[in-house]
Amino acid sequence: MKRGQMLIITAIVLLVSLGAVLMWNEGGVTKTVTIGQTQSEIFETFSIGQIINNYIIDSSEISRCNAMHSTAKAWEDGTLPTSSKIKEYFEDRYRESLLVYMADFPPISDTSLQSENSLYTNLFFQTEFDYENNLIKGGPQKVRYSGEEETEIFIDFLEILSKDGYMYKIRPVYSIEFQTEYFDYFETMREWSSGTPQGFKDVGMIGETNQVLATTDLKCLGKNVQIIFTP
Amino acid sequence: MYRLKKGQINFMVELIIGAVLILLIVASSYYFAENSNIKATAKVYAENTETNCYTTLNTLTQSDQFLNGKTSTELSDRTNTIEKLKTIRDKLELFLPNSDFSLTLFDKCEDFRGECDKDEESIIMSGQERAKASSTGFNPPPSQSESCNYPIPIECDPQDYVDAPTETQCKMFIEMRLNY
Repeated sequence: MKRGQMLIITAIVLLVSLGAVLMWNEGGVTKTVTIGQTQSEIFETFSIGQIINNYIIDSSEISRCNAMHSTAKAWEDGTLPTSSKIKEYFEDRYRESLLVYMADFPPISDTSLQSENSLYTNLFFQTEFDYENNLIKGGPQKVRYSGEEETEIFIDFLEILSKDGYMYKIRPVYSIEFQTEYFDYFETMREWSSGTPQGFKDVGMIGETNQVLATTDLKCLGKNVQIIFTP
Repeated sequence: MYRLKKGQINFMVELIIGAVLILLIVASSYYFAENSNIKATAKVYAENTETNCYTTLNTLTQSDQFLNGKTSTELSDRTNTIEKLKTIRDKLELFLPNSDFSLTLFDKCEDFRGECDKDEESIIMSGQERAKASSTGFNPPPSQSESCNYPIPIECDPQDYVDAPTETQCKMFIEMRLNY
């Protein structure tokens, strides 16, 4: 092959290559980018914290009703005990019920609360029954021992760790109304002999038994509180 | 005068054509380099934070503006659930006139952060109807709606739960789906 022909062929190859490169560039490049994952993760963790806060308030209100109804029926086979015993029984039922609701909180995937009963195992509540101000107050409190010297660390928060490592701390403190007049119904019934006292819808014996069924005006979870006891 | 031979003429012509072509390539390279615009298309997807859904549902469940008391408490007694959801729907439509939504109650929710209704049996049945209420224009494909869930504690016996935790129901779920 002559040198001139080689030059022409080289030039044509270069031209075609350059044209191919230019044509390839003409089409452009498409890249897909997703933004905002971190922000989304942070916000969702925050929202879950709010849901836990609200769930605990809802649970405490239902626990109060559960405790009211179960305490009212606790002495169906005996006489009513002292006021302090009734209060103690009520408080135990309340705490027990609240623990059940916390244990039943659903696992939340991709967070540190993704296993069953994770809220129950991570959050320890201290509950205070304020009879003077008609309130039930609760907040997380836990003492953790760490280190060789067994240092006490006081924990009053719940940590939620997201998949990307974002940590959110919540302090689910709640305060709900406490109808302390509930305990007055027991005092009224303790002195009851006949008739329907004020604050009650109906009081009467159950069938042929010695048990008394006293339906109060007080409603919780849509049902009137009914005290059953044996005088 | 010196006369070029035939082969020499061809050689000269090829040499000139080749040189011209290379010159053309070099010149066009400069030209295109100056005028070239690199076209790149970037498709940017923003992660949905589900802000609207969570905020609306949290507010809705804690509000006493929709039912005769706090929404979560009123729903927790599990009576007249369809009527209650429809009442909430009607009032929420006034608050969100430009957003279509649906509300559904579930007994179970296997995926709390996802969709509860993957399992159709988990939907609460009231009579033969589902406890579900949607705004008038709600019918979006799943990709164009965001969803969020809220657990509602319901009355249950603590002792039953301790004895059989998986068989005792102490909560239900309300799911909201909201159009973008």
